[in-house]
Amino acid sequence: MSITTAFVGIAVLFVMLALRVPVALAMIAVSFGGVAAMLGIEPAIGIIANTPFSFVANWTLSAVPMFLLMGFIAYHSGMTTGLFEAAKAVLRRIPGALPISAIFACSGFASVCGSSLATAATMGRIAIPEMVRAGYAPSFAAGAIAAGGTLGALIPPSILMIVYGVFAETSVLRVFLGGIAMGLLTALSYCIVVLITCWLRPDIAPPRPTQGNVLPMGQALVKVWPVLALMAMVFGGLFSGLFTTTEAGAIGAGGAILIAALTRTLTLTVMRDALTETLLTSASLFIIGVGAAMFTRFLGLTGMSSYIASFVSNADFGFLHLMLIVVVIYLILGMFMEPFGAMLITLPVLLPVFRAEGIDLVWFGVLLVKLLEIGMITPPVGMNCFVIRGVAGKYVTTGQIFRGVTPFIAADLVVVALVILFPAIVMFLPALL
Amino acid sequence: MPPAIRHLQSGLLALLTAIGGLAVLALLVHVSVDVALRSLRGTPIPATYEIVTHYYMVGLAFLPLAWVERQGGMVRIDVVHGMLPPRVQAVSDRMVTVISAVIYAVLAWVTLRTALTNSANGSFILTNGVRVVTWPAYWLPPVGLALAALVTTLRAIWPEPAADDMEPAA
Amino acid sequence: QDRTLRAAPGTPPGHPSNGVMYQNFLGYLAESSDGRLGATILGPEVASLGQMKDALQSQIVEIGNLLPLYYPAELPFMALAGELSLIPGNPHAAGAAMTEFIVTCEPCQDELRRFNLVYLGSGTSDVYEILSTRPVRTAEDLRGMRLRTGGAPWARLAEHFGATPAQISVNDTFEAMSQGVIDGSIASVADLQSFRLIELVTHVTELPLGLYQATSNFTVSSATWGSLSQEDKEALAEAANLANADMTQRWGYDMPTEAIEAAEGAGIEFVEADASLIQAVEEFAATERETAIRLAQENFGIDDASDHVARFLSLLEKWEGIVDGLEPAEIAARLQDEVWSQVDFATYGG
Ligand code: NA
Ligand code: NA
Repeated sequence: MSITTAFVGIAVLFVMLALRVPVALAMIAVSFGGVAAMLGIEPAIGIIANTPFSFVANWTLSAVPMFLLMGFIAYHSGMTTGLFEAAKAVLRRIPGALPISAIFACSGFASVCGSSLATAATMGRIAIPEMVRAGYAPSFAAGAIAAGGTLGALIPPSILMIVYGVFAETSVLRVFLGGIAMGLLTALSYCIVVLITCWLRPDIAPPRPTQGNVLPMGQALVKVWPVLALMAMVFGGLFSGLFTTTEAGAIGAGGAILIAALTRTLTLTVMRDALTETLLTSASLFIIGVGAAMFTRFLGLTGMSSYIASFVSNADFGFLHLMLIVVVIYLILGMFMEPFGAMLITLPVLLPVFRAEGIDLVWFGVLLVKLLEIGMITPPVGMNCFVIRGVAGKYVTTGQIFRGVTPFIAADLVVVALVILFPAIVMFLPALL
Repeated sequence: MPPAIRHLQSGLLALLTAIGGLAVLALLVHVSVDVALRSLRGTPIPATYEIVTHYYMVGLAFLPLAWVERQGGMVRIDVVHGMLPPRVQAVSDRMVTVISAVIYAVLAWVTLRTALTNSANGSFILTNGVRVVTWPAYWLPPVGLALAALVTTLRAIWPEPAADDMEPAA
Repeated sequence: QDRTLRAAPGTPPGHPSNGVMYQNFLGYLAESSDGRLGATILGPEVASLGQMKDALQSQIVEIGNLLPLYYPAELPFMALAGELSLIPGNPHAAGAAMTEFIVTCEPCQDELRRFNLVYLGSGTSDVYEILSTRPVRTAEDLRGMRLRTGGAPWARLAEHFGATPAQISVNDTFEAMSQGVIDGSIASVADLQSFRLIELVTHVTELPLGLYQATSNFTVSSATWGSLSQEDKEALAEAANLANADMTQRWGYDMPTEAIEAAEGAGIEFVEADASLIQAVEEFAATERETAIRLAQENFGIDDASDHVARFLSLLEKWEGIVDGLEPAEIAARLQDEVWSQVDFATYGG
């Protein structure tokens, strides 16, 4: 039976992943072996011969390197400091002003950067030392930034959302629009966590307003212009019909280079670092995509996808029951896997189920990215926490970061529940399109 | 690894990265100019879509693969592996390197067949009447994959840790 | 069933070529083969339209919906027929003419043989129209418009009238139009429903803009074909022939009718083009014959292109005379008579 082949294939995949075979190569090998076992060698060669080219030669996917480059240029040219200064100037009088300012700055940076890790790394460098000096517990300060970093993938542009759009064959722009609401809701929930912590635990979060070293409001706002200009350029052009979502990546990357040049922060080192990081991230991501595309074709040939889809519809789980299963699956996967691997290994099975159940794939994409981003801050493998450890290692240990991020994970779960119970929260913007 | 081979390898990888970086920049400039010309003069650059997808994208995805391998940039899952005793880890790492080399080599060979067929046919596509030659693009995957196979083979022969622990951004 | 073929329409279940064409094909095949042959339908996650050639050649798919215009270098005669898309004709006649043309033309069969594919007929769209976000009445209205075009003939037409053709995948049309990147699309009115354009389009201008005819809905891989008995080959061709006529009926007539009804319900305005614009379009279409001949010589080195074009046009005229007033099943019966019953299945596709 072909279904047996599918299950054997999945088992072999897990063994290979456990042995530390690269995710992409494991999926490629299993697809090849599985198709060869079912249909013979010629079809198996066909699968691996043509998928690499046909997957990568994709117009929508071309936004990935461009949005990455835009984020890395913004990152290496230091466009973020101004955001943090401005937020502090505006919010200086409220309790928890510093972490809340940092979360605002993360949101601002997220609107020009498509990656969660880059957002966490940038803000971690700037905000954590300052929070620690102001008397915040290092674990809480680091937790706030690790969580705040996830906004990078929630607020558009978002590399995860682009790749999802390609696989789900749904509009990237609509997923982006849903991401705006999801990102803002997340930021709001993090601010509430900060306020509650200030109230309940003054020992780790001093409730007094910020003193000293805050720029005058006017001066601070002037420093925000590079990010604001970049944001206006990308989103203005997008919504006025000058260019498409895909083209917005190139315009944004070009704009970031231009603005960095105008602010005299563009050096050869900045260009070289941004380009190599873009290349490293894109190439490692695309090869996983190739593997996932082959794995999708393999599972399609086994009839596995339709088998599970009909299993789910016969089981008649009901929407909430089904979503509970999905949430648990991604929370578990997110503990161990990085988001692209987790997404691309599961979509081949889940998308047919959702299509059969009539679940809106734009809504699901937004929810999925949120679930994957929770995985970025959960132990034992929490990439955002690791990167914070990398940039603020002299203040915190990895264990302390995981402890500090716990209340923010709780807030994430509340947000997930809200979005499942009231899909309109994220769908009202895409519905306008 | 003998110094001569190491030297050759790093030179080759630097070259590949440079070409990949050029593909990224070319993508940026080409799409931006296309948008500008379309908006200002109503005359977009013909075949932008095909050139971006077939050349820049395929180039920047496959040419740097060997370098990504060398940097330890391939995404892996570390959970179980970290729990193994160091000697078992070393054996398993070497085995995984051999498996990786074989997979890259097979991929290089089959994509090479595709490249040869397309070259023999002189494949092109017509986009709104403009003829875009596509067969040379099919050579990019086999070249990138073969070099990745080569780099992993060298690592299987002379095991050593990745160049540095660069973090893949997500 | 003795043999279950892997069949791929290349499109998701809701699309006409999956829904009607392949589902009907399954029924016809069971009947024409007395239950010997069956098929499992594979979705686009296994073989999308872009992957169909490779999927067929490597036998991942055994019978699939191939769009020949993706491969002009390899299928020049198909490309030549595609260049003639603006020549006016009705959908059923164009589908039948296309089928007879490819089946009975030796160099066409040669190119398919070299490509390891076997052709079992075409189906066509309705006559294309302009679906736009502003009214098009006169040639002046077309000037400066940005229009999505699905192929070279429409791009030539757009350029001739001073519009800017945009090559955008049909799946991206909605997004491009919603952002104002394009002002309209030269397409089947059925796209209003198939691709949700009904939410964006405000005007539909009816003009004789040609139809999409260079299709090969049931393309069989040569290896699969060679493994079938002559009886089974005939059964396959018979089922494909019936399903092709259904597909043209659905895409060329029924879906447009439904789309027009829905469009009227949605308050979309149907614009009557000015007589001078219609005449200008017809005059342009008349020059397409020479253009196609020139391109076939320049791009594909087909030196006797004018003979083939003449033959295609005479077949189109012949079928215009036949299909009038006939039901799809009757048209399929005529094609069976005139074309498929003349084919020697001992040698066809071999
Ligand atoms: Na972002
Ligand atoms: Na995790």
